[in-house]
Amino acid sequence: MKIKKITLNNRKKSFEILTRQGVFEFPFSRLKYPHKVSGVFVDKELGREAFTVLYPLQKAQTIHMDQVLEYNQDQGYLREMLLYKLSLEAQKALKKFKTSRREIIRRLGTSPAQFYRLLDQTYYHKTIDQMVKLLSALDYRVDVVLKRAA
Amino acid sequence: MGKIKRGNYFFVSWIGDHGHHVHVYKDHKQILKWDLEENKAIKGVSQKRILKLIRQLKWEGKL
Repeated sequence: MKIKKITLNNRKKSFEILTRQGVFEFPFSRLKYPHKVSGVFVDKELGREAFTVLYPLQKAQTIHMDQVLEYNQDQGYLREMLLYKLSLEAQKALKKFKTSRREIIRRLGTSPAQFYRLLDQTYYHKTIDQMVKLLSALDYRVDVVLKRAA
Repeated sequence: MGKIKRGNYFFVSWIGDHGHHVHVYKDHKQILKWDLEENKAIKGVSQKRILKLIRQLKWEGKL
């Protein structure tokens, strides 16, 4: 997600980050030195996907947009991380599974290409439903654990 | 955690609720997002050269 503009709000002690998806906030309290912010700029070297906070004595800290999305509990970001974790669990389950891959593909009722796409942790055009189906084909049950946000 | 330049690549690492990640950029584009805990790519394709640089930075304590 590219940053269009970033502004420093000293009254709210936070940054206001403008993107195509909307405005996100990121508080100073999440920084290394929250009381010493002297400036901020969008980092072009990082494809405008991060910003650098300047501190006195030529110190700086770079914050990636994913950090901002995580703080703001962005649905798209959380969905991707959930899919990533489910894919890793599916890979681990597949290593332990003794039946052939062909049998799992048959149980899923999909093509081998789709099966390998589901296992690929860098592929995000899959749904959580498909991952649950894959894990159940691997004899695993997906349960829900709710954690209070830090 | 900050931005590190090494071998024409920029590395940005951070620790969040979902683990310790590093983003790798080249020519203003993200080419890899790497999970430092699981040692797996989250986004993009890992290249030998980048993984070697990540290992090196980890060993130096910069990641």
